Amino acid sequence: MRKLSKLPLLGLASLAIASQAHADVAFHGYGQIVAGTVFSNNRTFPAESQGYSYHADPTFTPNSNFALQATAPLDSSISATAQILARGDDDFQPKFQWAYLKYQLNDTYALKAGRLQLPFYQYSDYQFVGEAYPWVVPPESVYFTQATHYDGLNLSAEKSLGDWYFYMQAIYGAFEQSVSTPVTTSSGTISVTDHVHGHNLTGLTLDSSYNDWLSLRAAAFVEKLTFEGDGNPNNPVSQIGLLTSLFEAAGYNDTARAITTSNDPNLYYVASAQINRHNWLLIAEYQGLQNIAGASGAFTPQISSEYISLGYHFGKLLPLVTVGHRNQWMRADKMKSSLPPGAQLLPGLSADSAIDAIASNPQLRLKDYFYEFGVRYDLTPTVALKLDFTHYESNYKTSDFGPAAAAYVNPQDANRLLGAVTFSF
Amino acid sequence: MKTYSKFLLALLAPMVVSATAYAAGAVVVAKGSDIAALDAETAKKLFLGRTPQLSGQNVVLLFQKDGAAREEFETKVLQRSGADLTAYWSKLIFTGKANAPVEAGGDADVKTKVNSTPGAVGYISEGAVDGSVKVLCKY
Repeated sequence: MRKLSKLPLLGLASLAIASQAHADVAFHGYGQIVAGTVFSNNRTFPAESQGYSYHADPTFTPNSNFALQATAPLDSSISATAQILARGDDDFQPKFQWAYLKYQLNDTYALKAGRLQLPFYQYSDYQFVGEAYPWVVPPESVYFTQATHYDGLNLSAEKSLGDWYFYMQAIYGAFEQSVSTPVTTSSGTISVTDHVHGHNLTGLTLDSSYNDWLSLRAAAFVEKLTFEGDGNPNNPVSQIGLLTSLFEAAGYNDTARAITTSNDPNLYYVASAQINRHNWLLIAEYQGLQNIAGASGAFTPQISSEYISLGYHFGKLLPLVTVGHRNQWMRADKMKSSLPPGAQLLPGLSADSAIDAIASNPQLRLKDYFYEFGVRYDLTPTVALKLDFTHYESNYKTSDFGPAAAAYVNPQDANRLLGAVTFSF
Repeated sequence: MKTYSKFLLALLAPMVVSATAYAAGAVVVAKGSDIAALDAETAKKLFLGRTPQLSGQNVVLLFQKDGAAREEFETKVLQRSGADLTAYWSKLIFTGKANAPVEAGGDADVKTKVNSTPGAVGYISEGAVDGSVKVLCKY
């Protein structure tokens, strides 16, 4: 594993060596050191997204990162780019985040092929470049989905029309990623790992900018998603796997197929707006995720979440308030409707209560708010300091699900403080 | 009448001089380049990474490392500077939306680089304009 992790660095080095003939190979990089602590109830922050985990003991690891990018022109219109990112939440193992060939067809169209960052949200294709946005981390009410990159194609088009500038992307590809998530159990917090596989990923994005102060964005993606759990009984994905086999054993094969988290077609739709004028900064974004396979795959989470940020530039200082809201739920009602009344899985275990038990798992059922106050200070044009205080509030109560959810711990409110230094070169 | 027109010339001359002095800099390309002249608004789009090609050729943007020429250009043309400009370009560079600009050490370096790099476009102070470059616009 250690040897494997050196591969990206060798790749970057060989790109540099191969392009020595063109003296123009360009190196750029970025990074951030983030320190964080949670000061309530001596537990982890209950809204970890991409494996980030903060707790009462201050830690510097989860969101810290370092990246190096090399771009080599191969021809007047073709270039090769590799970006290696080492993330603290991944033990700073260097991995290719981007590795692509870009062909500039003309002054409007460009085609990229290779490993590319998913442009789901306004900030997702540069969500690790702290230098490029005001918060320490982009608001987690929206930026909590786990896939970050894909392998495939990206066709982009750009056009200026009067005071407007338009940038469109059409993408196609697939991704495979292992994602670690902290899970709160009655005996403490543990880390579970899921293997996420998305294929037939197809998407369209449209970014527009008016006179450089108003930005509007809309995007839609469809993909077929498969989750595989690590078998840990506390892992919600593994629990769904177990439930599937129970339904199979009881002879409810259609229901079992519907529950499996495999090959579920999903539709993402995202809209955002940004206003940056007269020192004011307003950012708002909404995302929706829907399973579009009817009753089948009803356990893939449905999501509706959004945030709004308002800030004011006092020279180099930018204070910012953000309110985020997140709602994620399983379609338990749909699952139940496909079963005969009174269906039993095991003696004493009705199908309905088994479905409720999974659907009420607080790792899958999210209903919460984020209230943030942050400050960004630009120390130099390439170094910024940031502070961010987040109050997290869960509106979800396991008691809403009755005895089915008795085994779960209610998510609790928590406060988190993050401090960061970001840089680019 | 003759006296009158002389008087008019005398009146206008300082205005012409001050108009020339007002132009702080120029966007330049290689001497023999076939890239056509452009206005300040188009130059702004160009240096904000929104014009990948000019005359069918990939653009290589030259930003001066620091100094008065850069300051003038950022104030008068880009209307962006400092951390705001870095953040803007970070987004373009690290997402592959635009090729990263190349840094130039000063007016002389820009003049050398536009003539040695195909597709290179830079900016220099007005006083540094000479026969080695073609001016696309003044600002």
